[in-house]
Formats: sequence, C-alpha cells, structure tokens
Amino acid sequence: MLNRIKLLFLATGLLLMVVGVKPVIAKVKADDSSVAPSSSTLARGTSVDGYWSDDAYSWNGWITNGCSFCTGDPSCQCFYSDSTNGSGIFQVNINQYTTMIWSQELDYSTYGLTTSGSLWNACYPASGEGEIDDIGGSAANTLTYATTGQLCVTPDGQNQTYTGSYIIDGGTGLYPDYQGAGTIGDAIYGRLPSEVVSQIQFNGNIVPPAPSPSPLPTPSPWAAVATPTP
Amino acid sequence: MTIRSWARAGVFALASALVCGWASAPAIAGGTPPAESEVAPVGATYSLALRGNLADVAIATEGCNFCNGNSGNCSCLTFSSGSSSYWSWGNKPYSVIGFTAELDYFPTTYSTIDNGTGGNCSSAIGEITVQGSSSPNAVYAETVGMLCDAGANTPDPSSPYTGATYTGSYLIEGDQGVYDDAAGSGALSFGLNQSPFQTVPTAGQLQMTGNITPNTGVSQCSAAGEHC
Repeated sequence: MLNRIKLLFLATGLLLMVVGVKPVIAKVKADDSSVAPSSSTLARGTSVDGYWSDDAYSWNGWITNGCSFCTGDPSCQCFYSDSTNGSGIFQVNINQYTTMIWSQELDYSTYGLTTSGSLWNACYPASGEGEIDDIGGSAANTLTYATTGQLCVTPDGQNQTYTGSYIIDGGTGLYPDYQGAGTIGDAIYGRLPSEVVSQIQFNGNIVPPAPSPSPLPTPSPWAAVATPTP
Repeated sequence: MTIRSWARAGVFALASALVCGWASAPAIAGGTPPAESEVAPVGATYSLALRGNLADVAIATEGCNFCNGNSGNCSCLTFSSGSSSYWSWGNKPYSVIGFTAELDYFPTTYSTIDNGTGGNCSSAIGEITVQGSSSPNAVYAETVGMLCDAGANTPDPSSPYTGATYTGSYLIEGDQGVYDDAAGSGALSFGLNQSPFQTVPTAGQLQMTGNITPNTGVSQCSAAGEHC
C-alpha cells in the first residue's frame, strides 16, 4: 500500500515537473523573445484625459489644423486619447501581462455622416494612427499602427464607440519591423465628470517581418544559350 | 535513485510549480479579481470574454427601442442566451450567465448597402444585458456596428438563405450590483444561421472579447437620460 502511494506521488511529481516548468520559462523570457513566427496579442487600456479637436477657421481666415490627418478641412474632427494617468496592459500569447504606454488619434469628417441602426445616432468613417510604447517597461520596445473603422454614437446619445481594425506598421526593440493586424474597440465616455474617459481594446496578432525574397536569378542572355548540336 | 528520492523530487516540483508558476497573480493586471459578490478595486481593469449560443431569436418592426420614429424602415432583432453561455473576466473561471439583447437595423434594400457579394449590410445599434453569475449583478452594454449577410442572398425562396454576422463594439454602462459603476470596451460579434434581411434566424452564436473595469468609482447614472 505504501509503495502504491509512493508511486502515485512520484507520478504526480513527474507530471508537475513537466507542466510546471513551462510558466517559469515564459516568465524568465518576459514574454518577449518568445514571440514566435505568429503570436496572438491582447492589449487594453484606459484614458482619463481624452479630448476632441477639429480643423477650424482662425481669425485671419486660415484653417488651423487641430487634427493630424484630415488637414485643411473644416469638416474634420478628431479624438485624442492616451494612457497618461490611465493604464495600459499588453500581452503576447499566454505570457505574463506587461505594461505599456499608448496613444491614439482618430480622425473623421462630418461630411461622412451616416446613420446607425437609428436615425438619431450618427456614425462616421474614421481612421487614425497610434503608438504602443515602453512595452514591458523598456523604452526601446515600441509598436506603431494605423487603423480604420467606424465611430458611432451609442443609443444614449452621449457616448461613442469606435469599431475598427489595425495594421502594425512599425516596431522597435524586441519588435523590429514587426507586422500584425486585428480589431480595436474603443469606448468613449463623453459624460463622466471632468474629462472624457476612453477604454481601448486590441485583439489580434503579431508576427516578425517576412524575410526578403531572394533575388530572382538573372536570365542568361539569349545569345549565351548553347546552340543545339545538329 | 530510490523511490524516496523520486518522491522528494515530486515534492520539490510541486513546491516549485506553486511558487513560480501558479501562485503569482498578474499584479499589473489589477491583481486577483474579487469574488463576484465583492466590489472590485476602483479603476482596476480586467480582460473579459463572453460566449454563448442564442435562443428565442425574433424580429419585430414595432416597439423597437432605438429606431422608433423610422416607420416602415425599422426592425429589431432580439434574442436571449442559450443553454451554453459563459463568461469570465480577470482570471475567474468561466461561469454560466444569461443575457438578453436587442439590435435595431434598417431592413429594406433602399437603406442598406451591398455586402460585396449581392447581399445586404446595414448599420445597427443596440444593447445587451448580461446577468452575472451572482444575482442581482448585471452588466449593461451599448453596441453599434454593422449587420451583414454572410453571402449573396437571393429572393428566390428555393435557394437556401445564407447566414449573417454582426461586427461591432461594446461600451459598458454599469447596471446592477457590483457592476453598478462598471465601464469597458471591446468587440461584440455574433453569427446567425439565416439572414435577418430575409427571414427570422433560428440560431446563432455570440462573442464578446474585451475588457471591463467593474468599479470606475464614478456612477454611470451621473447624467440624466442614461441607463441606470
């Protein structure tokens, strides 16, 4: 009986050795160098000081560009948000969560107004760019992305959601020139006290850049082709 | 090596796994989430995942909550959770939940756009209420997105209807119990086995993937006209 217990204990110990070693490795590598050919990414954050801006006519008739992408257009409006005084959390695969600093700008034109499922709540095609910096606490680790989607007023008429996709178009540090894509969901609370509060969510993937294709062999001049032997 | 030595190795492995692998909580992710009967720390955010099958799918053209006044061009799709519906936030284990949802959209072709293959797409707006696993806790979320046929629909009834998908975002607006002051965002999507532009679907699957701040510390009912 005692031997059976020992054997059971032994088997349990061996099983745990196999299973338990993996999370240790994942944490030692700090969810970075373990980024394999393709990895899932999850990121989320909060912003407490988001704000709206636009391209407006100034006193001399010139347009002051308050937005970065839809410049010179008085119908242009934009929403800025970042993690200052908020939060940012970044995760690759099932590795441990790390922190990140994030910022995003979404531009849209009021001329692009469409109705949502309700006539009283508008939607606008929107696009923008964002940065994810200081990933894992290292200023060297950054990602940049572009995003397109739709900014819509929610049923209560005071909040907005942004539903979009992102494409990673740059990275440094542990993510040099990385690529990836996924979805972004923003919740923009326009009526909480003091300032606009935004919540952002990324669901997607990340992948190292594909190797450059080998140069095609230079074709031989036709004259160099061997003359068929008669 | 004796059996006793192997047993010691097993004990060592168990201790190592507990200390290094399982016992450490993601502190920066907000720490271990509180029990559902407890209020979460102010401002802590957690990942949220909800999935479920749909039941009681229906379509109405009267009494819709969001496209009222748009007579003749307003439909509302409603459904509730099926028997296999779960959610988890933070590192909580998945638990059975219930939900009800309404999505209003434009059903007629003159107000829809082509889905790219001859089917329909319509902007859509709605809400979902999730009954947490500990009553009376509930989460209310608004959603706006696009409802689209998944393929080419044809008016020919002999042709099988294709399904449809909804792609949108959610915005949590608190609701009841420990989620009274909740906020959050993410993706909300669902699939239907038939096109709501053609007929009433009979089944579907819903997915919410995103985040939740269970306790913002700010009442979601601070302004008039909001969901409380």
